[in-house]
Amino acid sequence: MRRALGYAAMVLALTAVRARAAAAQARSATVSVTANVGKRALVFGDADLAFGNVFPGVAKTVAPTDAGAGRFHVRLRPGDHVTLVFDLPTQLVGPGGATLPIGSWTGLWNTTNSTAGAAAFTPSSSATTIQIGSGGGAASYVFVGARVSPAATQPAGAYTATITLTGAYAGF
Amino acid sequence: MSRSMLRAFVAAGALAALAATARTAAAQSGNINATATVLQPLTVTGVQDLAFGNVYPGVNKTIDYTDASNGGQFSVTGFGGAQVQVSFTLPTALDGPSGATLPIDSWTGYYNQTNSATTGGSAFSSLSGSTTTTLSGTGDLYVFLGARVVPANNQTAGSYTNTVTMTVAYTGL
Repeated sequence: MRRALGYAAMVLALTAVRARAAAAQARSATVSVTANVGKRALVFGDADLAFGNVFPGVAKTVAPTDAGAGRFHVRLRPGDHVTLVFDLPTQLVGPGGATLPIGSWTGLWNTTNSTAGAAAFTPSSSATTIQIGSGGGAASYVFVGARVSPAATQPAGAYTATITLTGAYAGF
Repeated sequence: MSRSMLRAFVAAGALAALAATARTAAAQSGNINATATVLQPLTVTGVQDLAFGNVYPGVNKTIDYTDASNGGQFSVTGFGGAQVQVSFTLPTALDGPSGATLPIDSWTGYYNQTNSATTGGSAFSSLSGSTTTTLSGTGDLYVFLGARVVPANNQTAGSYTNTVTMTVAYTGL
């Protein structure tokens, strides 16, 4: 946004100068107003972070490279930079309001839909900057893992929570 | 107002619009779920005390785990087919009247997916460590215990007791 405002301010100054000049010369002129804004980083949730069956009293970890890893992809122009900010749950919610702690978040991102050669990062509410891939898809991919820690007396049943990833344009 | 001034105002309006757009258009969110299915917790039940009954001073007495009436018994229920670790906290003496103690040793045990102390199961090789085994397809495990008490010749008469604790935990397999 700072970059966009900078462009706009320059355009405004240029316009004022040219307006004065045009008035003095009594000639018409045109200017263009341009700014590098409005590029929306599209974020798509592709796959849930799925722990599958969990035994009470036995912590279970899903790594970003595992089949159960969560996956997003982010679209923008090839080469654009995007900041990623996660809203991560601290627990999953299950039957009767029972809760299952979740933590130890891990992440990988890549310009292709593969964890091979991906860059590691720690998902959090602090921004991580990635770059959009230059391939035809104009996307980058984000893989997420974590660990759940059930108590020995954890009530049986299905538990779930929402992971939100927000992407914001961060320049080219 | 001249045309050039009008252009300046238009440009200023464009700037305001751009600023507003820049504040709102550059971020977007996507969601996925984190999901897990927690399986049935383990339940460990003490079914029957290990009961030596009457004991004569100076005469050792052994109860075998196959003794259906007096052997100690536990049952376990959990997720069918799950692997578990079984361990024990065993007393070395029973506590009796006025602080008297009665030594207990020579522990033996047997575990089985069916409720039998004689067939289809396995004897514990040792009760001092942990033993890994598997619950039945319906999530059952039965454990049988025996031991020996060693009363002294001048053992104080009266009732003696102590606690045997069996702990069972999933291994995650």
